[in-house]
Amino acid sequence: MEFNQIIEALVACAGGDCGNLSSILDLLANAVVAGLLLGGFYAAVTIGVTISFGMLDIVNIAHPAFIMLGSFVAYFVNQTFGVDPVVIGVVFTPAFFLLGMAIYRIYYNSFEKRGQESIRGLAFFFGVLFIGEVALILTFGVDYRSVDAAYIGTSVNLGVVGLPMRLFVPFVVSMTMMVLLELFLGRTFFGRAIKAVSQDRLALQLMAANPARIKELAFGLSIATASVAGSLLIIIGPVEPSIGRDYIGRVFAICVLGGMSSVPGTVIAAIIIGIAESFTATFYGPSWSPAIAFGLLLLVLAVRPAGLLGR
Amino acid sequence: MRRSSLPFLIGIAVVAFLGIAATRLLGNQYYYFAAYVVLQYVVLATGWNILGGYTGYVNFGVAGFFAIGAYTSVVLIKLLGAPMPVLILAGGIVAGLVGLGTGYLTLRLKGVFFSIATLALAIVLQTFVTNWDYVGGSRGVYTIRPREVPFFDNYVEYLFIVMLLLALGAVAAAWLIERSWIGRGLAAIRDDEQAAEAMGVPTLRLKLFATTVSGFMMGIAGAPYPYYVTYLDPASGFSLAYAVNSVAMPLIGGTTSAVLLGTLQQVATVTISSALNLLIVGVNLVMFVTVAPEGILGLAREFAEGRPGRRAAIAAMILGILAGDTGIAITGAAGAGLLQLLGIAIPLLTIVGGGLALVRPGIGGLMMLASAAATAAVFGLDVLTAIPIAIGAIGGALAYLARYRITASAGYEALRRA
Amino acid sequence: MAEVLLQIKDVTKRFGGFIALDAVNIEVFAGERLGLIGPNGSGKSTLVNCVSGTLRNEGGSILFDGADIRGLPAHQRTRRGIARSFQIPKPFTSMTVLENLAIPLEYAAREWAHPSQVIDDAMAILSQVGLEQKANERSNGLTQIELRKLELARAMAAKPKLLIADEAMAGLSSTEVDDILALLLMLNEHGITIIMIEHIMRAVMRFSQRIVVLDAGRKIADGAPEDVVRDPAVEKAYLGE
Repeated sequence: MEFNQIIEALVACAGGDCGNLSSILDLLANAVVAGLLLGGFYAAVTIGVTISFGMLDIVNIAHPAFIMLGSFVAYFVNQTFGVDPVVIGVVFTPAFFLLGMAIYRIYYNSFEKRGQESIRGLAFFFGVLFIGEVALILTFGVDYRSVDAAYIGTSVNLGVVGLPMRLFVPFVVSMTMMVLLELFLGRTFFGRAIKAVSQDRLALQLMAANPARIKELAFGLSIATASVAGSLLIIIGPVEPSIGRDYIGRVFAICVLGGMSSVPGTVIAAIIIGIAESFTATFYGPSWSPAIAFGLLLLVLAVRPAGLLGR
Repeated sequence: MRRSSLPFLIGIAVVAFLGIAATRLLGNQYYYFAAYVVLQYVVLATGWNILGGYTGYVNFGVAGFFAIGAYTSVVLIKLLGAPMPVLILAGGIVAGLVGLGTGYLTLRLKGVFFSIATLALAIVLQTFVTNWDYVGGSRGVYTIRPREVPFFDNYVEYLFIVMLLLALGAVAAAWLIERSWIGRGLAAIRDDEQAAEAMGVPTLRLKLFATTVSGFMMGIAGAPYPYYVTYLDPASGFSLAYAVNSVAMPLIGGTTSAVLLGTLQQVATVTISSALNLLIVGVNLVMFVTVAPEGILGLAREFAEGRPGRRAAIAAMILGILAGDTGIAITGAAGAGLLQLLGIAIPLLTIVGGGLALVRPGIGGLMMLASAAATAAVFGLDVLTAIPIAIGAIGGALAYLARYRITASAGYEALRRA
Repeated sequence: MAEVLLQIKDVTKRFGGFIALDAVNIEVFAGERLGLIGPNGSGKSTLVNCVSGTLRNEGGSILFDGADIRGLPAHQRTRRGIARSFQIPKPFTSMTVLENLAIPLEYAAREWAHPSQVIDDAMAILSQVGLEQKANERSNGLTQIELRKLELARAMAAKPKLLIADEAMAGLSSTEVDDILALLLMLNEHGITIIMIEHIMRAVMRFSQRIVVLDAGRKIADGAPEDVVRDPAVEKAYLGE
C-alpha cells in the first residue's frame, strides 16, 4: 500500500469511481481497529513497567523476560493440559507475584539499600533479562510456539471491520486488568500506599522499614501482570524467546509517553503506539513496527526533558 | 591517583603472544580467529568503560555502535573498495557522531534514560539495516577478502595484527584519559554529578566527550568485522552477546580498569563456545554485580587486606563460580531435556552459593555442598564431573571456615558492611 | 560605600502549583557577612539553588558582579566566583580528600595551574580547615565534622568571591560549631563575601553583619541582627501567633 495509491483513489472517486477509495478506507479502518486492539494489549504489557519504573523508580528492563516466561508457561500448560491460556495467565499470577517479591528482595538488599548504585541495578536487570532469554532458549529451543484455543483464528465482523478474536480477547482481558488495577490503586489501602510511596521519595529514604514492604508488594504486583500479559501475547501470535527484545523499547516508550506513573496514561499511550504501528505496518510493512515505538521514545525524550527531569 | 593500567597492557601482550605462538606452533589459524575476538572485546569493553566506568552512564546499545562500524565498512567497501585504515577511521567517526547525537538528546536527563535510549537505538538500527537492501537487508552480505595481503602471509593474521594495534591504542588512550584532568572530571560526574557541576565541572560537555569517544572506539572495533566473518547479517552484527559481554567484562573485572581479567574470562568462553557460554556470562554478571561491587580487583584488594574470614569467603566465592561454570560446561552440555536442565540448574546453585558465600557464608556453603552432592548423585562420579564436584566441595568447606572465622571475631561487622 | 556583589531582583520560583520563592529581593554587598534564616520550607535552599544555578528561577533576575547570570549553567557560575557547600555533604566518594579538592582547583580556576601547584594549593586549603592529615584518605571514611570541613574546603578551592554555606553546622557539637564559625570568619577576613544559612541562632548572631529572613517564599525582614531578632513578624514566623 503506497501513498500514491491513495491519491489515485481519491482522484478516481472525485471523478465518480469510488470503488478503490472505499476499499482503501476499509483497509485503513481495519488498520485503526487492529491498532486499537493491539494497543490495548500493549497496555497490559506496559503496566508492569509503569508500576516498577514509573511508581517505584526501579528500572526493570527485564520485564519483557517475565512476559516471555508467562507466554511459555501458558504454552506449556496449554499443550499439556489443554487449559485456556487466559485462565492459565490468571491462575499463575500468585506464582509470578511471589517471584516478583523475591527478585525485589535481592534487588533491595544488593542495591537499593546502598543508595546510588544505579549502574549495578541496571546491569543486574540486564543480566536477568539475558538469563531469562537464554534459559528459555535452552528449555524450549528457538522455534515458534503457539497455543490452542477455540476462539483463535475466528473473527467477528462489524460492518467493514473485522475483529480478529486473537486480538479482541486480549484487548478485553487487558482492559479489564487495567480497570481492576486503577480501582486497586485508587480505592484500596495498599494501592494508595503504593501511590504515596511513589510520590514521596525523600520520605522513603527517611522512613526505612515500611516503604520497602510496600515496594516489595508493588513489585510483586508488577511481575504478576506479566503472567497475564504473557498469556495474552501468545494468544495474539506465535512466540519465540527473542521476541522479548522488541518489547523493551516499546514498553518504556509507552510508559514515558503515558506520563510514567498513570494507568489511564499508559492505556492512552499504548493505544496511540498501537495505532501508529498498525498504520506503519499497513503502509511500510511490519518489519518497521519495533522502530516506531523507539523513534517515538527518542523524540519524547528529546522534546520533553523538563517534564521528565525533576522526578 | 588511579590503579595502574599496566596490567592491561601486559595482559594484551600476553594474549597477543599466546595467539601468535599457538598459531605458529600448531600451524592452525584458529588461534588467530580466537585471539581476534578476544582483542575485539577488549576494544569494545574499553570504549564502553569510558562512559560506563569512568562517567557512570550505562550504554546498552553496544551492539548498535559495533554494527555501525561494521556496516559503514560494508558500504565503503562496496562503494569505494576502501582500504583498512579508511574503514576504521570512517567506522569510528560515524559511530562517534551517533554517540554524540544520542548523548545530546538524552544526557541532560537522568542516566537511566540514556541507557534505555541506547538499547532502543540498537534495535532501531537493527531494523533500519534489516530493511536496507544495499547492505544486504535481512539476507546479509558477503565480503570478499582482498587477495593481496599487506605485510603478512595470510589475511587472518593481518586482521589479528590490526585488531591488536587497535586494542593497544584503545587501552593506551583510555589510560591517558583516565589519568588526565578529563578523567578526574568524569570520575567526579560519576561520584556525584550535581556536586561536580557545582564545583565547576562542565558536566554536559564532558559527558558528550565521553559518549563520542566511547562510540568511536566501539565503531572501530566493528570496522574490520566484515572482513573477519566474510558473511555479515543483522542477526550476528547486532547480537545481544556483544552487549552482555561488553557490560560483563568491566563490571566483573572491576570498573575502572582490569579488562584484562575479563579478557581471561573471554578466552575461556571462546574455547567453550556455545549458547551455554552466554548463560555463564549472564549468571556471572548478575552474581558479581550483586555481591561484589568492585569486581575481581576489589576482591583482590580485600583479599590482600586479609580481614578474618574474608579471605576464606572470597576464596569460596571464586571456587563456587569456577565449580558452577565448569559444571554448566560439563553437565549442561551432555544429555537433553530434563537431564540437561538439571545439568544447568545444579551448577547454577553452586554459583549462587558461591555468591552468597560472600555475604551469608553459612547458607552459601550449604548450597555449594548440596549441589556438589547433587551433581554426584545425578551425574555420577567420573573424571569430568569430579572437577566441579571437587571444586564445589572445597568451596563449600571454605565457606564454612569463613563463617566460623567471622563469627569468632569482630570482623563480622565488616562483613555486614560489605 | 561597598558595591553590590549579588543582586537578587524579584526572583520567583514555582514547582508546579507550589510557589517556593515569591518576588524575593536581596542585595549582598561585597565583603559582607550575611545571615539567611527562616523556618523550614521557607525557601532558603531553593534560593541558594537558584543563585548557584542548580535550579532556574522563572521570574526576576539575578545579577552577580554586575552581570546577569540567567541562563548560565551552574559550572559557569562557579567559574565566575559563586561557590556553595551542600546541606548534606556530597563528597566525591571514590576519591581521596586531596583529589576532592583537585576538582574545583582544576575546573573552577580561571587560569591553568601546573599539577604540582594544584597539590600545593590543595594542601594549603586543607591545613586551613585542619584536614591536612587526612589528605590521602578516601573521602567516604570521614566523620561528620570532617565531611563538613571537606565540603567547605571544596568550596574554598573554587576560589570564590561569594561563598554560600548551606547549613554547614547542622548536627554538630558546640565546639565543632565554633570550629566552622572560626573558619568562615577567617575566610571573610580574606575578602570572601559569605552568605550563611543556618538554624543555629548563636552562630548566626555572632557571624552576621546583616540578617535576611525568609518565610513561605517571601522576605519578611532585612537588617541588623539585633533588630531582626526583635522584629514581631520574624517572631510570628518562627513561633506562630
